[in-house]
Amino acid sequence: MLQLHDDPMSTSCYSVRLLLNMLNLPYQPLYHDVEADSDPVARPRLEYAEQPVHVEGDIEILKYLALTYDIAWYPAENREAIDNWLAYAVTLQPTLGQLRQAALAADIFLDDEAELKQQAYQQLKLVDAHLCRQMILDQQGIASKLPSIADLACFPLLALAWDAGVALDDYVYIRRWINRIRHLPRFIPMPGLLAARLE
Amino acid sequence: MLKPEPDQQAPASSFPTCLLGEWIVVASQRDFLKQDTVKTILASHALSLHKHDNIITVSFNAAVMQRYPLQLQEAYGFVWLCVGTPGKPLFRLDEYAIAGARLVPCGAYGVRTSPLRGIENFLDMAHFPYIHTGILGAEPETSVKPYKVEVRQDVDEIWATECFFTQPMAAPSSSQPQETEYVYRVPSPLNALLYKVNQAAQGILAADVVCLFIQPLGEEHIRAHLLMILDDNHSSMTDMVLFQQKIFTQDKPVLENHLPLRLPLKERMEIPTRADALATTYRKWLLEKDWQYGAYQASPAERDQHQSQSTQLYTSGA
Repeated sequence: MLQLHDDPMSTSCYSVRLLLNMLNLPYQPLYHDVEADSDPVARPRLEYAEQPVHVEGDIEILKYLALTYDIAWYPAENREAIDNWLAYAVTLQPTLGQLRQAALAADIFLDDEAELKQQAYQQLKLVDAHLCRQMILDQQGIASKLPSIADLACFPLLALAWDAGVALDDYVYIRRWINRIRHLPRFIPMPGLLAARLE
Repeated sequence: MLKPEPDQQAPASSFPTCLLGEWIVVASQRDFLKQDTVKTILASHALSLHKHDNIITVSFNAAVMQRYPLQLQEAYGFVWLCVGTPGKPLFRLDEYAIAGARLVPCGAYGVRTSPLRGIENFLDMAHFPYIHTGILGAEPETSVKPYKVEVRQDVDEIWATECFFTQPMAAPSSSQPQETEYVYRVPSPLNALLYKVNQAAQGILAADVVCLFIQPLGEEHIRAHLLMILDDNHSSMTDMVLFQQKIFTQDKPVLENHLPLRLPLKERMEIPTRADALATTYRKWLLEKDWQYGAYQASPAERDQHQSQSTQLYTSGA
């Protein structure tokens, strides 16, 4: 049985939950004990109940799951582009990730909030232009013809930009891409993000 | 979607009049477990709370705040601040001190809405089947049965009683759907409580209590502090906190997309139904207090428009 050290509010954990669901892999979520004097789950960690396998971090787990269970999520012909976008997903953490964290609990008041928002909007502009090119090239994913683990790595923070106080109004290609991901089979929502209603 | 408002509103020149004399939550006592100083915001004013020799003191950064008397007290797991002279004592929450009651602090959540929308949403049963599907409600059991609302003049609190709702999973310990009885209580404009008769209870409390204490950061940005007092010694703390987190994060996007974000008290922009008797009483009560903070103020042109719209609505319905 797969076990995931999970946090419902964490975007990194959500990337992993998305892939686990899309791969239709049953797993047991393990949550941080709120009464224990330990830190909450900062990075997702994947384990097997019976085997000594531990994979830590969303990017590492996404790669591991795709390589182990379904290579279509990490196709060989797009590996370089996918790796680039996996690396790009990490750069959203200090901007959108930090803004979201500060806005959610409202217990951190950032001194450089305006600057971080400016940087976040620059990133959105870049991603939007890229997704526009992908559309012209008839590519549904951010780095490949069909959505890959790169999409799942970038999706949570972009789709939850509202939580960070960042509006997506001006980024139509990002919004279309978010909707495509939301309509993928076996998509699951997370707090702050509603499930797509399937007509 | 609306563009989010800039967070850093222009520094307020003085403290909003209607917040004077109110006991308002500014921190959780648990915030001081790992630190002695907590920095936070109340009504666009930055403040610091400092704990020394087990006593918490408060200081505001802005010189303009020097003119107000300040009082601080710790109660129910939170730190409460009153700017100005208290209008009435902090409300009583006797269940907090009952031996054997499980105290479940569920943390605080930032929400980009007005403090008044935050409270009003908490008082609304009609949204359960649609927003909390499968937990606090489910179709087709969507009707809100008539209930009683009164303003208790002696304590100046709103109470709604005899509220019944059929719920698939009323509490983390529920194993089957149950008709749940609720009592709502609004002891002051920024604090609301609900008492929920729990059939899985063990006889320690007459009802579980869920508390929402709102800390207004600005007129459209709040910190919602949640506390549960439960008659449940079996569920794990983690399960209970995650349950409440799930409910609250389902409300958050809905709250943040209300238009307008501020609550219309006078304007006939939102037509209440019988199920909204409690919300209507809350709005009237705020109007009587001449409460403005977080309330929607229409421009004269907008007001004319709403008047004519509602006239049309009544005419076509006749």
